[in-house]
Amino acid sequence: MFHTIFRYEFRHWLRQPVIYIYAAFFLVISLGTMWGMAAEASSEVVRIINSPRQINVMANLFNTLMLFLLPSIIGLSIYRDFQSRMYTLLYAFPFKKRDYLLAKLLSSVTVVIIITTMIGLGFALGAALPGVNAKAVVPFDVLAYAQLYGLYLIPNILLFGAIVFAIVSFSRNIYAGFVAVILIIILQLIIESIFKGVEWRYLAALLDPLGDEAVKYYTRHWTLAERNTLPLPLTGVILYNRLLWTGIALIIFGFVFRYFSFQQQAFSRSSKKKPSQQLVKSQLGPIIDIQLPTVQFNFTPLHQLRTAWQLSSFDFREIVSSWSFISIVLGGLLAIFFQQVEMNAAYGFKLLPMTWKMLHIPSFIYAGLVNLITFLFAGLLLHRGRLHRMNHLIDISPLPNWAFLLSKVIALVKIQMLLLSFIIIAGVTVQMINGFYDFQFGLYFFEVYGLYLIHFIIWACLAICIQSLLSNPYLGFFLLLLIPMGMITLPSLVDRIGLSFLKQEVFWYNQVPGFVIGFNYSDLNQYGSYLPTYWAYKVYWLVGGFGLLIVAYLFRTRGIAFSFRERLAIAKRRMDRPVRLGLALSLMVFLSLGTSIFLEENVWHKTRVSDEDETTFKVENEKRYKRYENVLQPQLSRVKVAVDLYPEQKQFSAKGTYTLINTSEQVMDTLLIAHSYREKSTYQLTWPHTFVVQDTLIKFDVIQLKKPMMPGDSLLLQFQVASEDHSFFHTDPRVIQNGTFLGSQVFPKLGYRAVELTDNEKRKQHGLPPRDTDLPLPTDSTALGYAYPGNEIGWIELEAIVSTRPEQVALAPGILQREWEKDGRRYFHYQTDSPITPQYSFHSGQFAIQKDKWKEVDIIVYYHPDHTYNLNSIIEGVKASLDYNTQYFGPYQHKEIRIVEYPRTEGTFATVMGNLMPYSELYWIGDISTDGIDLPYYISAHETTHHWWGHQVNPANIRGGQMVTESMAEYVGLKVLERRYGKAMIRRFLRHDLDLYLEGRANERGEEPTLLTAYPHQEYVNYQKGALLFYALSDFLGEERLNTVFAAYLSEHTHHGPPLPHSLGLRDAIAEIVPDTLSYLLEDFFETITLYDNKVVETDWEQLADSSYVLELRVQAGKFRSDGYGNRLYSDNQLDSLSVTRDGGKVQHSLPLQDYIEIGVFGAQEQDGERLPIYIHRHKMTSMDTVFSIRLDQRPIEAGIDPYHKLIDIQPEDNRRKVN
Amino acid sequence: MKNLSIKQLTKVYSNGVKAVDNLSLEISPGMFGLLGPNGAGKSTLMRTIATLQNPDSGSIHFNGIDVLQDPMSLRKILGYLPQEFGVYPKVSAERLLAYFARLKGVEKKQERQALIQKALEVTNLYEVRKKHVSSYSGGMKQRFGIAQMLLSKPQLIIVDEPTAGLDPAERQRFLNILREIGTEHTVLFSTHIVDDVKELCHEMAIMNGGRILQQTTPEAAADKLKEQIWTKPIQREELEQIRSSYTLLSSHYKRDNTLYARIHSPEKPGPEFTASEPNLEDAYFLALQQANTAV
Repeated sequence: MFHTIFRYEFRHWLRQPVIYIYAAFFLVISLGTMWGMAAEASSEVVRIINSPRQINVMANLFNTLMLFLLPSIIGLSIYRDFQSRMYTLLYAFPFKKRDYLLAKLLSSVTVVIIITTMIGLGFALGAALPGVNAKAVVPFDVLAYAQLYGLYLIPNILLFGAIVFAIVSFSRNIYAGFVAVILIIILQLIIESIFKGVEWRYLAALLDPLGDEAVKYYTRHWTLAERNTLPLPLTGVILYNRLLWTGIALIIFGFVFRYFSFQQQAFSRSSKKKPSQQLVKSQLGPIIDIQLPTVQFNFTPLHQLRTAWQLSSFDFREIVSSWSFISIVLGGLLAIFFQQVEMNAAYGFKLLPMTWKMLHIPSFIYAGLVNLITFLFAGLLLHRGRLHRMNHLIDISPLPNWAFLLSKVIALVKIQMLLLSFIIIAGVTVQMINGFYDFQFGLYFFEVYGLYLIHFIIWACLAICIQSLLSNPYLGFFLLLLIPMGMITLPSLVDRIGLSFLKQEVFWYNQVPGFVIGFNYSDLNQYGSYLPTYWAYKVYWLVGGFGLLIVAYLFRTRGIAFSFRERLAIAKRRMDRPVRLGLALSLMVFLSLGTSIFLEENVWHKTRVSDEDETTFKVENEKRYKRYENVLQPQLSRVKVAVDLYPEQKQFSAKGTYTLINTSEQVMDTLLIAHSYREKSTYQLTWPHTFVVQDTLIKFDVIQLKKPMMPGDSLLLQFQVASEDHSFFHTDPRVIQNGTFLGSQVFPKLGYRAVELTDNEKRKQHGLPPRDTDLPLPTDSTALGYAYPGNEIGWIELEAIVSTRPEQVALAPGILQREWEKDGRRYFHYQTDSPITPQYSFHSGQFAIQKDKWKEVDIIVYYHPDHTYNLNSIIEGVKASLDYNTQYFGPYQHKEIRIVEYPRTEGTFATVMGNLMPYSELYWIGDISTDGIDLPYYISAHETTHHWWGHQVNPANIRGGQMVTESMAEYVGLKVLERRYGKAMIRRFLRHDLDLYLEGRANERGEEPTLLTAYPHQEYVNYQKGALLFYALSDFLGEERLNTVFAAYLSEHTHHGPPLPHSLGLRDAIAEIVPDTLSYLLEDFFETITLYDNKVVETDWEQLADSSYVLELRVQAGKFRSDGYGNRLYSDNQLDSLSVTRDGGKVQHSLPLQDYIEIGVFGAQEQDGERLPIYIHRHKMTSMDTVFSIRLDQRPIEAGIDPYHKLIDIQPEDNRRKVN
Repeated sequence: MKNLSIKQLTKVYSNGVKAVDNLSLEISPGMFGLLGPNGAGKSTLMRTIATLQNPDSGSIHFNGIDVLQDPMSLRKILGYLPQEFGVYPKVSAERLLAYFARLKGVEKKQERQALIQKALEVTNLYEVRKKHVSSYSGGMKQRFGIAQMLLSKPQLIIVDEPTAGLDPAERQRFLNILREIGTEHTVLFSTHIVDDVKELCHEMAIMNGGRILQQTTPEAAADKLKEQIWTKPIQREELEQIRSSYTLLSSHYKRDNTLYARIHSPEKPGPEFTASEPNLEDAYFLALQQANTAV
């Protein structure tokens, strides 16, 4: 019997055209994705696009689509029997329940599996197509695909197929199946967001229904080489995860199997049965006369409009009170809630639950959910009548089509409004839970209903149109899932096939430029000047959406239409005058809006800097002027500038004078002046000259000095700069209404502009030679002077008069000399008291001001009046840093420190401009109450340190230069934290840095450098690795001793010309004090990428007679080198590697060990949640396995090898262990 | 006075079935029965009149309304009860009727409520008005179908096989209500049960193969066969022989287990036949048979 049903079902599916449509979709999308990525891969990249892990990652992209196939096919297979009322017949046949259910389930599962094989097929074909970058693909690997299907796709289909099958059989409602899938997706989102923390990763890996987190658990820290070659692991939590979910699916299916019965009511729920009521029929009663009361019928359009509204209320009520809707909403609410609770900002630090943040968090995932629900319920609303076979009763009523359609649109929009209101509810709840009561209700309502709603309404129009056109709502839903994805991915595809103008948002439904995830909001500057753009595009799309609604009106089925031809004929008949007029009008408005937008962006005001424009600029710049790269230029020594900021008009104008001195020992006869690319700018020279080149495209002039500049000569360069003109979509981004941060880059610069194409493939296309390196290595002694591009090195004197509107304060580096008002404007005069590096900025905003003092130094803080949360931390961080730095590295060079807040929309960093320290808004609203990491304090400590490391010494513009600035600032930051919190807490900070480093190297797209040779952008090395290694050095060598070396190096280079400081120099200085026993550190830390793999294996303790304790501790030590791509090396030049064979025959390797590693034991005593050590000692380890026997006078609770994470350890979580 | 006029209506489905074949029909106010076997094209005809589907050709007029050109005008005065229908789950009769009343354009809330109450009383559903219609028994659901029909105060009522599957009491009750409504309006009533027509309709048509075989009244149809219906007790084996030599209308067992054949013949076919009183069923079967032999 099983075979008969199975065969029948299977054949039935194969006859359905929709199956082939699904299969074709999957094939095309996966093929396109693989081919696109493999073709796009640049020649530099060594990432393999079809490695086992990458295939897995890409297949995950299709998870959502695949999951929705389950109700569409598996759910439908059982629902079909209910809907067609076939069950009344079928259930009378002598099937065995087992045969019926299993055959139904397995046949439909087989169909889904066949459809999803298209994913693998698409990948395999896509990687083999012409046009792919041969370096980015490996030959077809059966094992990779077998793993993908055997371990993930097929089990997932079986598991969730069974769940969906169970739910549809149970509820006899196919929509319940869709809802179940949405809930599974929500569950995964919740798991992802709840368990973000390091300590929760295992649990997340175990619980993730799709198994994705489990894979991530093992591959998170994989380096590029490992990602490219290794098969996915098949151990531990991956297996447990699969087992757990198989178990859950079995239980659910078992439940269906047990309680399913072939009766009208699918499930026998004997316990819930109500006592049946006897309905006594009083049938043969008297024949009543049928005199119906007189009523007024109203068929006017106005009344029909009201009826549409009332009908929408009816539909709305029915839908929102259905349990399926309620369960999605609850799930969605939980999802937002948990995401809002986990507020991750930069560096993994939490932000306070500011209202904009509450609004921003749901904008990605929850917005997707609102769309899902819109698409699903658009289908339900439009097909509801047919679904319940009530459509004929409805269709013969005298309500016109437009009113029906309108009622559906209104119902859908009401659902959206309800869903959106949950963002507010969840947001306010999370704020209250956090004890945060600064609700901005105006902002909540404005953003949710003023900005978001229109976005979703436009999608609703599309959903209504598609669901009206298609008679199969499941296919409609599937299509609707694909469309938004296409709107995001297709533009880059058309770009690649050479139709780059087509990638503009104006061509892609409901897209707006600059709208990626949510709105960019700042308390200082609100939405900036973005909203006019947003609304212009949204109105345009709304008109388009209205056009789609008219199409829906034309094609909506009323009654019975038997073919598309008939529907076409009906549509033609519905196309009466008002409809034609409406369609023509909306099309006209749509097209003219679209054309205007396109022209405004591309022709009238060319506001878009397209990728081509940028490429052309770079190519031409290099082709024309690269030859001037090494021409020595005079050095900037003094800047005098007057800047007028007009925050209301979002404009500025500036004029200034540079004093340029020939500080070299050579004669100079050529000046190279690069001036503002966008702004209007002019300049004059106080030196007789002629122009060799005046390039208006690149804005680059080559000037021949009539009389050469001799060493020591100086000249003046006067310049005038003003904002570019505004257009509808674009205002000068440099000046904003509140919180302007105008950098000195708008002023003229000297020397060749070092902006070059980096991708060698692209360079070849444009006829440029390959480029070996961005920056010279520190070993290149010729690069240690000013000559190299970006010769804004050295120190200057700055005098600035900044003006702004009277409500605002204007700032620039320097000491405030005078402040006055004139002609309704406010003026500030600043003058530096000691030389600053030649980067400076101008600020303006409505600030609150806080004044403080550290010894003789004034600390003045300018901030948004509401942002008082971290004011104290920021000031205390500065003070603590001043304490530390002045203790070791010499006096502070300025009389004042000014700290100014700038909007988060302008940047997320903090920096130092002379004595002025601009901090991003983020640091003012960071949450310092939890986790024990006070980020604003730490940032203050870090930035203040730059006054020494970065401003007193300024490294050469070479690789490794940042070790002298950022590694030092991070190191001092750690030391300042250690002073404040004590040694026990340092574990957290080190672990935090270690995780960031490991993640950074795993995400490295190019080659991982050593600390000595890192590029400035390789922050995981310059910042985290540098901090960790310097901290370890201070631990090995002694803080005082190390700091003395640093201080000597600093004073040797302070305000000192070439050769400029560099990583090698600092390393050499440190090497002086490293004893021979520790000399391996120099090689491990600076010259190579070396990682440990230390681990506690076993612990055992006993109490002795004298009430002391003995702890036996088995540890494994291991160390390896890594090349830039993550390949592990275990042998040294001189020595062979160590190796040990573990249980199960696995051989472990290590570099030879002569290493000092800390062993620690911790007792019951705690401080701030950190256990205090009862034994801590550094031991020399020479073999991979060591057993320690440690005598203690307290009961041990926890023990570890390198328990504070002072060394870089690939697997830090196994360094400590609770003592058994 | 005829007020529903159907002219040369044709509908061919894509599988080649001629559901309605050049059909013309004139119907006057009152109960009109459309009698025909399953698959005769009754539902297609009814749905076409009810504006739910379009014919390939032909025209339909009702009281001056060109139904195919202006379906909306007909819908304002139309009541339709399809052969089979469902309802939204978990909605009470009262709420669902309110929904329909709105669809049908009843403007004022009080009037709507009064109308719904009356409709519920008439169909004897008042007691169970708070119950979900989806939980109703077959008869109750059919009565609900009538209740929703009444809301538009229909002048043309189309009822497609409403009594199929009802128990005798329910059926009686249903027909009574229908009769009441039918006194003032045009009711088009399709069925394959001869008794429904006999009891209810003053005019009728017999339909098969998409065509009207005969338009008459129940009385006239029977009267026409006066002294043309004959019966005879037969053996089972004789049946085929009788079928081939006479116009066999029906055969049925009597209580004593003897089989009687009922045939049509203008004259007494033989001595063993006895005359029998003609009934509507005879007319129906005869019409079907004659149509079959004509083809």
